[in-house]
Amino acid sequence: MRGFLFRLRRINGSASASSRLLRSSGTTLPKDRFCFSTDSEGSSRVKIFDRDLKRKHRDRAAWLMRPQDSLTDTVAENLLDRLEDCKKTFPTALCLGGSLAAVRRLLRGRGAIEKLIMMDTSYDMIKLCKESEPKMGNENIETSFVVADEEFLPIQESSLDLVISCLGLHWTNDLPGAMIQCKLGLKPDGLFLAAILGGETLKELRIACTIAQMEREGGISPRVSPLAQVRDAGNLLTRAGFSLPGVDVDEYTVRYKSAFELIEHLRAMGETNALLQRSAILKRETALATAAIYESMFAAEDGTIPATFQVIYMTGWKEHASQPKAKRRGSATISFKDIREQFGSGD
Amino acid sequence: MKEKKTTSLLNRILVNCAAEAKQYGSCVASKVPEIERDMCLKEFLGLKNCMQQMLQRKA
Repeated sequence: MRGFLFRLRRINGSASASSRLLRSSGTTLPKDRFCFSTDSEGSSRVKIFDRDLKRKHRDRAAWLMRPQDSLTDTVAENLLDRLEDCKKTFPTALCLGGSLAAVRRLLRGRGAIEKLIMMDTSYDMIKLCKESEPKMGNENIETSFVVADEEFLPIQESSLDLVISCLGLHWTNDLPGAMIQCKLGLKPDGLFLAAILGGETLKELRIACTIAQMEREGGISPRVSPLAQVRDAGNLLTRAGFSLPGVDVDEYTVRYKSAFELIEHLRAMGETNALLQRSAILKRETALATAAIYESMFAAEDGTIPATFQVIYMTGWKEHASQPKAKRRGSATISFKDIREQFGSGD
Repeated sequence: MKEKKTTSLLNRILVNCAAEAKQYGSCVASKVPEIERDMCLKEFLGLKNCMQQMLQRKA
């Protein structure tokens, strides 16, 4: 219990700020039954991303963020659209970091959410969301703001109807673990909606960076993070214990005038490189070489360069008795042979 | 927090040295997938020259 508060302090670096936020928002987090265990921290966990650096990126993104980014808005809109497909209402919802500002802005009362918890690792991002809260129109939503890490959810078990994560989970070191914690936080028959970037994202940039580094420097260092493949998304959902998993993929191609514009956009979204293995140095020559190669290899006729963003949308429900389940093996009452005879064989 | 101006400077370099950049880019693109270090050195030096001229003009 004391371990939890200690962890929040370590993540934020300013305990007073976070506890001020928690107290002022009116949600007192009970000190029992959290979704994570404070023992065995860092024992056998693989660290791929530098979470500290990602938090700094998101601090900067809070300042650089464009008020209406077409990519994040499209993804958030697609995600929130799925709420309209459900007859169920979701009184309590948690919105995990990524483009949470876009999610909040485009919510427009969908899902009949009454209590919304906005969570992000970056204090500046949460402050930005809090400040733009009055402009959101009166939707009668009680919002609370929490600064916390997605891998250490400070949420009581079985307390949420809905968890939304828009383009945030692909920066977690332990994605299955984060999803398991989300599932534990959900009530039975609760919904988990997530959009993460998939393996095809920024493949042109990946190629251009590799070629430029090989030609200029003779070696390569990773510049684009490892991203989940579509075929793994279904496994992730079942591994986390969600029932009725659903995965679909969308590929967005965004055009830029040059590779540097792409990098600026990534910076504004807080999606720049945070791999622990990254090389801290990017020589001006290598950057220039990358941009030149990107243009020559991938440019369209009008001189713009494309960048692919593959978004994987994952949905999963926490199990509940009312959900349809696959029938037990051997319990079939009609055989395919009978159906075939009835409808005629052939096509 | 002021945004660092590195990318806009590089953008300007890329726009001004578009011809050299194109030459370098097509040299590399033609040799893909066999890439070796400094295989397009001549073209790159042209691009680097152009970049340094731009930086001298600015400074």
